[in-house]
Amino acid sequence: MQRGEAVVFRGLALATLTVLVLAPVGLIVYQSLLSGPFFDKSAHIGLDAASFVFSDPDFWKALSTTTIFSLGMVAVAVPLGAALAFVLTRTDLAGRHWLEPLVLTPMFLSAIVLGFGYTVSMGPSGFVSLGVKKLIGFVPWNIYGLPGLIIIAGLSHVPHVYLYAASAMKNLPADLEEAARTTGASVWRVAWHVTWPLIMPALIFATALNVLLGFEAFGLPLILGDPGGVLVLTTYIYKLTTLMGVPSYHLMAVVAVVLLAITFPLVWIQRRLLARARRYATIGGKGSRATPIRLGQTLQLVGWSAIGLWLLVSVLLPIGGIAVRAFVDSWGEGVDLTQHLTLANFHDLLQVASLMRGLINTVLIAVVGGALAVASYLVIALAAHRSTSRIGGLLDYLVLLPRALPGLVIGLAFFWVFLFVPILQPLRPTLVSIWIAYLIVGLSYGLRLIQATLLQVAPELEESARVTGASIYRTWSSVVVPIIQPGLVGAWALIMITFLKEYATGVYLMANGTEVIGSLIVSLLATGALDTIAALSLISVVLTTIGMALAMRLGARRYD
Amino acid sequence: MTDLVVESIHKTLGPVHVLKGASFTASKGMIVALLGASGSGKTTLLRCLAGLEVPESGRITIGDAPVFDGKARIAVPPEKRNIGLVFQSYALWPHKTVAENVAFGLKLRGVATAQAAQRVDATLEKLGLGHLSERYPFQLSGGQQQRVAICRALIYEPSVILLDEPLSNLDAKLREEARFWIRKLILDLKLCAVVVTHDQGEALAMSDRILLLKDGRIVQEGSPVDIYARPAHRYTAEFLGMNNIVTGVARSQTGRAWSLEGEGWTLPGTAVGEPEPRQGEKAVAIVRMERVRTHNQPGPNRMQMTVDGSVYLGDRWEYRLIRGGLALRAQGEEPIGTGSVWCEIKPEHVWIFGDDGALAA
Repeated sequence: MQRGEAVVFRGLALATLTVLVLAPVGLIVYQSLLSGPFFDKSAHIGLDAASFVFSDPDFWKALSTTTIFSLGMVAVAVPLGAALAFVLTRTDLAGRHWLEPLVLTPMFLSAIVLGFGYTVSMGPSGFVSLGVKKLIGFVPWNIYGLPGLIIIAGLSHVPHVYLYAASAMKNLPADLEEAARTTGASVWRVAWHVTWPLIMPALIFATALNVLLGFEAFGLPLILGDPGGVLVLTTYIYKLTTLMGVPSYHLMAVVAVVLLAITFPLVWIQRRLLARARRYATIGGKGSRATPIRLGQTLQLVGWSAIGLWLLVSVLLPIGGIAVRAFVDSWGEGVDLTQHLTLANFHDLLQVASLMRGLINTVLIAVVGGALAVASYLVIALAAHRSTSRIGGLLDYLVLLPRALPGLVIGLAFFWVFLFVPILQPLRPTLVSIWIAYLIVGLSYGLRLIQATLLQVAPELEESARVTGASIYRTWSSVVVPIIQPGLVGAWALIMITFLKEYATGVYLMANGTEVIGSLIVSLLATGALDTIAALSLISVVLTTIGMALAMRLGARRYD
Repeated sequence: MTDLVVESIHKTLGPVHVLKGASFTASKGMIVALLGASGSGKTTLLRCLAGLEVPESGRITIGDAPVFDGKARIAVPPEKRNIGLVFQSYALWPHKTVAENVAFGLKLRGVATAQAAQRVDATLEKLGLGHLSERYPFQLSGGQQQRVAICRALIYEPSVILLDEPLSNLDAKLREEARFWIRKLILDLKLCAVVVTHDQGEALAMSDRILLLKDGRIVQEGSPVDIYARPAHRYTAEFLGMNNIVTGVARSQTGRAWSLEGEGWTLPGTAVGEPEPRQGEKAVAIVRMERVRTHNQPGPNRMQMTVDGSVYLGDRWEYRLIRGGLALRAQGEEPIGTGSVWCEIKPEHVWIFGDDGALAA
């Protein structure tokens, strides 16, 4: 061991992280092997829980539905995302520069809010549905059920594909395409024979990512699938509580382990793909920008209509629906909305202590918790930064575990940890428990943001500080952190948005006093308090918009 | 006194054995150049001195204190070695002004702010940077950045100052200026300096002592004149200067005198070092281009050769001469026409080495 290389600090930071990651995952695995909830003295080790779950036809139904849902979502999102990326990076579509940030909006919206938005705008008695019904006499769509769910989830995941496809297309060296052009290929032939094969790795990666996101989806299936009896694995876990009447932790744990067994390989494959995609990206010459393909008037119109329609369906309709719904007290067939305009929904929020707390807690956990999370990710990233040992590799694998688990399961696991460990019990009804769960949910994203900024610090800048006489800690505090400060601020804004829109993690952890907006919406759904949900959803959208504006102001860049 | 003692340093990076027992010493008011091709281990050796790499074995002493000792398991971290290092990229901290960059070393050593500011001003002034102290590195030219980097490395009076390819990021004109003033500054301040370079011109012009490295070992050590004019090894002879390299068969004459023979020609020469030529075996002769003279008439040590062509190089002409299988390059101030010339090379300038087939220029 080399002296002065912060060995103790690195060891402690990574040991803490290891405990934070492995404790909940370990507890899930342990719980899945018990015949009853872990606090039940009569529970014994065995496969009873597993055999119970595996004999439940609903479980198998949920498993196959989840698979169909994931693949269906990918089938919608990947072609659309790739096409969108091509149009925005490779053609001269009018206004493509300001469209770019706009098309990312769906990924910043909380799925639970989005789902609610569809209910009030396009559900059987939604504003849009009623309007269409008035015109043509019937509603030509049904958003409840698997097909509706797949299409809506697919549309809202287009930005996740767009992001990777667009960055691959931007990084594609122009001379590769120009070489094909000079050989005599038309623009469209070049797109097909050169551009397309070269961005394949990015698309395969985006596909793997979206399959994973499909398996982890909770908000949309809960709102759009549940009323029609469509269960996916996450909603199956959620429903287990209500179905059994008693805490069926052992069964939930079994399903969580099954989910992990499916998603962990996916995450692992993704990691490999990303490494391969990077290798692919280094081929080729200088990265000058390609001359954009000229779209004629017709194609411009087609492009605009397609993007406009997509934005209308995946952003405008749900958000517009929420905005309208939040200001009326009644809705449905034959209701004149202008007669029902009111601010009462918001006024009611102020009256209910738990809702007010939810607002304050959400802002607190996003703004303060987000900053603390960035600080924590920074500590972890520094612990692995230029480490000579294998710590960095360990960290890479450690981060994959929470990445493979949906927020709902991580929240559940931490709920158990805070129940299970006596000295932690007092923390359970405080925001600390929620923050720690959020910290782990955002771990892989946050760490990637910080590590990407750390990569921009040339090693000589640190070495020159060391040689000048600064210890490693002094080098970090006087050289590294000041240099990456803009990146840290940007990361804070992005983590803030992530925490603002999080809803699943708090579902189980939330207690009296630690309510957060997203999880409040989930629990209110069962009560049908639509007025309150609408007001909360609109506030959530407004907060996210403020967060996004802040992120753009601070020049944040997404790195995933 | 000796300020830097390096004893048989071994270092492996992954599967590569980069340093295979490098040793040397350096003292105040003296510049040592570590010269070598890329991959010779010179930068790794410098990084070992700085403490940025930890060798597997050997000993490094700076001043009186051992900073590395493989046997005693001592490895002092870089910040405790009291050295200055000028990086190839200069590595100025982009978030600090010129003055802050330079002052950082004093701040770390607890020098009072007012006193530090005074010293920073004085040093910047000395290097002609006084008016730039409030600028940020990105607002400076390459030459100015280099001066700041040097200021930063020497302000706290380190025991040893290390320079890693200090001139490689400057353009040609600035480079010649810089190697002169850097040498003058180091000698003025009586520093102990180690310069890493792959450029022989830089090493010859800047240093008092050159260590030529190859494959992690020091091939030859000596003054610039020793290294250039008295090579003790074929690698040294080939690495420096612009050379004619001729292969033929070695014939022993009296003492160190040998000759090299080929088809239709014989070159009288001298055996000067490793590997020694062997009677009747394949050997090489290395002749510095400037040692080949051309004349219009015969004389001692002259050989008639055919002019194959002349190349104009601006400051001089280069002649391509042939005789049977022998091809030589010579230089002169005037173009010469086709036909024959008499080419003169003194035997002491024809260095004959055995050809062990394992060496490349």
